Amino acid sequence: MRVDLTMVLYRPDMAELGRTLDSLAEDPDQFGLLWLLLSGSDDQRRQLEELLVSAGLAEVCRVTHRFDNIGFASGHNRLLAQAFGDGADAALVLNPDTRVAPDALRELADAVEADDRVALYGPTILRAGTDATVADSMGIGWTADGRHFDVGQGELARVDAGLIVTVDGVTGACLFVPERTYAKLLRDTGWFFDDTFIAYREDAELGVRASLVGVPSRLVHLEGFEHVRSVRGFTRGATLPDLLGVRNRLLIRHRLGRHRPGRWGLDRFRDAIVTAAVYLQERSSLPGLRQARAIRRFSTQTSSTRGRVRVGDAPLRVLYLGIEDPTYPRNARIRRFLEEEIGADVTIVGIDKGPGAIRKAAILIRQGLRPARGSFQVVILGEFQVKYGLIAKLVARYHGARLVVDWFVGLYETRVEDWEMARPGSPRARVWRWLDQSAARAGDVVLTDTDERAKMLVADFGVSPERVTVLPVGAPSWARPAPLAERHGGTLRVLYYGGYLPLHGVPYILRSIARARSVLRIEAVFIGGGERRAAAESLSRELGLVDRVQFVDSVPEAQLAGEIAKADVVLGVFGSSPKASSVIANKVWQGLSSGRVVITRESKALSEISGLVPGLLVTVDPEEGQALADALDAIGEEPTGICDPSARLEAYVAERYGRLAVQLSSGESP
Amino acid sequence: MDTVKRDSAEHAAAGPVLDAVAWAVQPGSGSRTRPARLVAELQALGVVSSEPARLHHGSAPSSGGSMSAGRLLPGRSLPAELARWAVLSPVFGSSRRAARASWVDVYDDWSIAPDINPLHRVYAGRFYSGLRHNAAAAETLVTANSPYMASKVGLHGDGVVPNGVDESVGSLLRSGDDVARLIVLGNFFDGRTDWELFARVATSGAFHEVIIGHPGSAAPMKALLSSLRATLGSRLITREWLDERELATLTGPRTAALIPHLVNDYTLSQDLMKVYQFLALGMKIICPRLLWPAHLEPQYAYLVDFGADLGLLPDWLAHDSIPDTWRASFVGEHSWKSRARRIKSLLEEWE
Repeated sequence: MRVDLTMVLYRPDMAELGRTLDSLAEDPDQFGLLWLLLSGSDDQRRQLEELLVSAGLAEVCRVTHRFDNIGFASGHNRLLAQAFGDGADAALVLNPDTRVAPDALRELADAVEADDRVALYGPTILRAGTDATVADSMGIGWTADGRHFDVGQGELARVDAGLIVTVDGVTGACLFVPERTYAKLLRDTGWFFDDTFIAYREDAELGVRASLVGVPSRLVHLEGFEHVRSVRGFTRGATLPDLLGVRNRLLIRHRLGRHRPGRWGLDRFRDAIVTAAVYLQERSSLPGLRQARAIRRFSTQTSSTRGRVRVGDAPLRVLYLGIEDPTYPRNARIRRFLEEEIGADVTIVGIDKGPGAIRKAAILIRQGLRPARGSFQVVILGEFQVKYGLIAKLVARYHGARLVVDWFVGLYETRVEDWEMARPGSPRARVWRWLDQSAARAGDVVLTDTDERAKMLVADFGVSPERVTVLPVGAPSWARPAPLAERHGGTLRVLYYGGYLPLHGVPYILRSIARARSVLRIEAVFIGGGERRAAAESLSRELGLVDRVQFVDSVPEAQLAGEIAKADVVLGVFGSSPKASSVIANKVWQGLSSGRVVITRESKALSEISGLVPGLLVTVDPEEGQALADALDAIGEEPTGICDPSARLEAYVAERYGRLAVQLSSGESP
Repeated sequence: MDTVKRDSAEHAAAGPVLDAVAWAVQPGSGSRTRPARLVAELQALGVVSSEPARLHHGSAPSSGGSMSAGRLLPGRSLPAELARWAVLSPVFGSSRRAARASWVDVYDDWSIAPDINPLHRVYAGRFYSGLRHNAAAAETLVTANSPYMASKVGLHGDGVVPNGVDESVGSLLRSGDDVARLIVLGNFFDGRTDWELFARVATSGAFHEVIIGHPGSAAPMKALLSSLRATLGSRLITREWLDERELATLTGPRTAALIPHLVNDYTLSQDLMKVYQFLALGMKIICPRLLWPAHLEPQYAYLVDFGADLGLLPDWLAHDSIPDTWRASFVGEHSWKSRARRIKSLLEEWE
């Protein structure tokens, strides 16, 4: 492994630098090239070159000379780009007052290779010039009030040779960067060191930002690295470091947002203390404070981390709000995906199906805000709960989480268009419409189940297309083809199941059964219950279908597979509302996946899957009174064969879920 | 014809994509702003029609083919259908329609600009917010001048199109002498100008001559001039205006320009046009570190930040003047023409 060294020199102490170069010269074979950025005068350039010649390093050194000071962060960013552009496999960011003993870098590189991760690395660093083994840095840690510090500084060092542990960060005084780690950080966060910082604290910020994209910081226990360190710990008294320390503390807050380590409240309190101290005591730091404030919008808006969801070792923590029925396919499938595919930790806040919107809102607020702030990274508002969109937004904000709204079914389309509970344009209708829109716009990610409904969200509610993800309903695992039973007495068995919703068009189904003139006898089973079942039974009697239509109460989902297996045809939805023409109902998915012919109303949404189920999907226009009856007749005349489209349908659904995984994993806010 | 040529021919045959512009350019005013330069170059490329309908907001009345949208509610003057329109000023954000143009370009954060009136700042804020939450139609191409503005309007990927420079600037003959000369060009105003930096650099002792173009009449500027005169005497020269030809005659091996901007959200939202202008002229630049365009190598820049040591300015001035070959290459890469080509290709992808 070729390991290059990068070093930024600003007003260097030439004597100290000379000692560092001499230490490197003792074992020059352990590194490739030494990249130096000197901010200084021509005279300092001459002195540097003399030191390099004296140390025998001139041939392996590449010097960039500037007269201005571009800072530690920008300086090392340039040098790292040069080193990796020149073919280095890794680079060691090194302070000019850090000594590297013979063979130490080689050992460090070997340990990194053996660890074989995409990570930032740093060795245990001892304090130079002490007889006892005193630590200078055993990694970076964070206090509860948002201050970072070098772990173990000034204490007796406990170096457990061979041990590698994950820490919050690694000091920039000696930071080992494999090329793959550098490339990943550039790709996923836009930069290596954040050069808004100039100097101080950028290594601490780097450690947090890296962890957010799954790049841990790893401390390698070994000896051979010593640091002189001119600015130590929490001591103050040097004007420029103090000013930059104040500035960069606020910069970290603006850049990292909720990801800044520390307990909320304590860190803010500390911010206030620091601000007050600047005004009252350390006015030399006031320009730093003022600039941090003056560039706050820039710092937050161009941050690559604020909107992120943490990925990597820790599981994604998800709060799923408003689950009425955890067995309902929609939320069951999403939760299974989050837990099994992403490895997320999902917490459910359930509500009952009874009346009482205010009571249930209180449940969501109470249970959503009860866990400590920041407990969740993603908040999902479950299906059928768009009325609680703003509450979900509140809960998401509290946790600093991304909000995913499952805009599965809208209030207006259900209550006004399906159930006709209010007139279009009435005050209640307008409120429902507003709630639908608010929920759609509240989500950082908005889920729906078909491309047609996604278009509707964009066109009607002004939701950004980038925020909308289509998660098809799909079919549960039990929906698999079973052999068709032999027809007895020339009977075509038709199955309806559901809640007799207006969406289903049950009266139309019954009239069509009555109209059908199939050569086969059509027998239907209607499974389920609901407000309109009694009316359906009455209509069935009126149409003389009593001996051909059987009404059965709801059955457990596990039994549905058996009922579908007994049927020749599964009926979908035949409602006339806009919703009916934009969805692919659960039963359509289940019937098709079970290898059954499914007859349902025409819908643009069906074009998504019609090509995957040749010969199984029959669509009719429910405005044509005879259409369903004719379709039943046509099926009766043709033998139905077994077909298994379940794998194709599942692959289609999996691909769509994959897009959600990318969105949640990238953690990018739209 | 092969496929590529056939596509180009089809595009050419299809005619301009844009034939109307809504912007802040007042009729009869100079054409040095970003929108004006981009539109001119896009016209040359046939993307914008040769005589586009123009709508401007501001106090100037309608004239010369440009219709006035007034100052109070300029967005109202936009037509209902904005396909083939370019909206190049966020002040039209008084109407949500503005975000549905074929091309929207945002530059500098007008919502916090100290030289924009409060009402227009509100309109600009609404416009950016609308773009961010995608009130823009799927058919709208949105471009921005800086990463800040790109983030402000929720752009990802390729939407940043930096400012540029006229190609002709790169071929102006430099004829300045070897005097250590500092050039500073206005506008200067509170909220953007760092008066302290201005004074520190001008009186650093590194420069034998300090020339200020278009100083203006702002009170802080008058005070600064008075102070500089006391220190520099006849070495301070002010000129009402310095065009690029005149600047070229002043550019010598030890001539540097200063961009004395404060570092704040507003200046960070900008992409300093003067940087491109000065580098194209072959003039080195002293500039606040954070304001230097991130995509440009600062090899001819002296970047200043906390702790900056101006004592090395003489050394820097004596080093590395900008060769003409570098100027030519720079201008080729960063001309307004190249920016317009970029926008053209983005528009073609969008179609």
